[in-house]
Amino acid sequence: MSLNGYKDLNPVHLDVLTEVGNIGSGNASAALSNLISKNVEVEMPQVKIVSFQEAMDQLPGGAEQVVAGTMTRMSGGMEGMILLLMDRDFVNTVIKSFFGHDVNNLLDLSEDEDSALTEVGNIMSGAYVSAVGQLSGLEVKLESPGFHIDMMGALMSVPVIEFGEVGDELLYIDKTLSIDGKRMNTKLFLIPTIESLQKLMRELGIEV
Amino acid sequence: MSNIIVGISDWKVCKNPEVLVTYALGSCVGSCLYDKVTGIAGLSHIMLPDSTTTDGARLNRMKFADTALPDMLAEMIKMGADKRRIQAKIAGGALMFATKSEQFNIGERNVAAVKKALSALRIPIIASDTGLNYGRTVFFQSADGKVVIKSTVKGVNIL
Repeated sequence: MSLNGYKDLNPVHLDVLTEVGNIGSGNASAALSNLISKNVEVEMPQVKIVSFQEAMDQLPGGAEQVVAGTMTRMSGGMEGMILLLMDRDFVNTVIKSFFGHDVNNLLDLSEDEDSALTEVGNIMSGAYVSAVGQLSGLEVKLESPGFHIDMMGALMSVPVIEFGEVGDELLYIDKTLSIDGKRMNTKLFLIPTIESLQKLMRELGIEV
Repeated sequence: MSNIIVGISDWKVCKNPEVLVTYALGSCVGSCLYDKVTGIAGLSHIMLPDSTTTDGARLNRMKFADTALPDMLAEMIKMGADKRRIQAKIAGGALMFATKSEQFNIGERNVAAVKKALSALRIPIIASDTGLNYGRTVFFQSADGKVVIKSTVKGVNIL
């Protein structure tokens, strides 16, 4: 076994992860599209291995941009978390399609609106891992998501701290969404543990 | 004059009138140490409580409360600060997502570890803004020792 850390991932592994991300987030955006009856497109996902500081620095709009986030823990066949960070444009589009009115400030959302956004995170995470499961045969379990509105950096610190126990880097598959042709500063991150990557590669018949 | 940015798992020291800043603390904790006579200030941004649970070979001392704070204090003393005058203000340690498996609250453990480390160094904590469930950006002014905390939900709080 040579896949002991993110630095051991070779180009084949990275290609596989990109494809896993592509299929998973394709399914997640299709679920979103059904939910809000709009055309949702996704860019080719990017697999990134970054230092914690880089993870913070690469956030669109900077660490202090206020977003609505859902965090869904994965267990079973794959461990780690799925983080959905929704910017104001994205939230506005979703809330408008559900409730018919605009959102001017993320801090003014009602409880019903919070629940609707949590459900969006839940459905997109579920669609993501179900596609990954079909591809790999791994059965991934999801906890119900946590929801919070805050500075992006503070939300991103949750996976960073968790992975800080075992190293100084984070691997994530990140995807940027467009709704009806408009590019959103909204990010969907799949953040698996290194053990889960080993398992995933083995299930897919790829040497680790 | 531009602010000196302290990253995640990082600490920096400076001298009056510079300003230290660290952005978007979630469950991490920012510790501001200050000697008001010399105007020497240090800001540490730790991620985790305890270095002893981690493999020593790849240890980043700035990541943990128990290693970062003694190191930063030593650097401040080297610059001319007097340990007997140094006081601390701390911020951060929130619980960002209240889900089922988040009971083992890392923010709370970080705050406890920072308090323990400062107490072992005999540095008194004279003000704090910790816990709850929101992110904080910290500006630490070495000119007067004031700590300005900005958050999305609570606005500005000055320690």
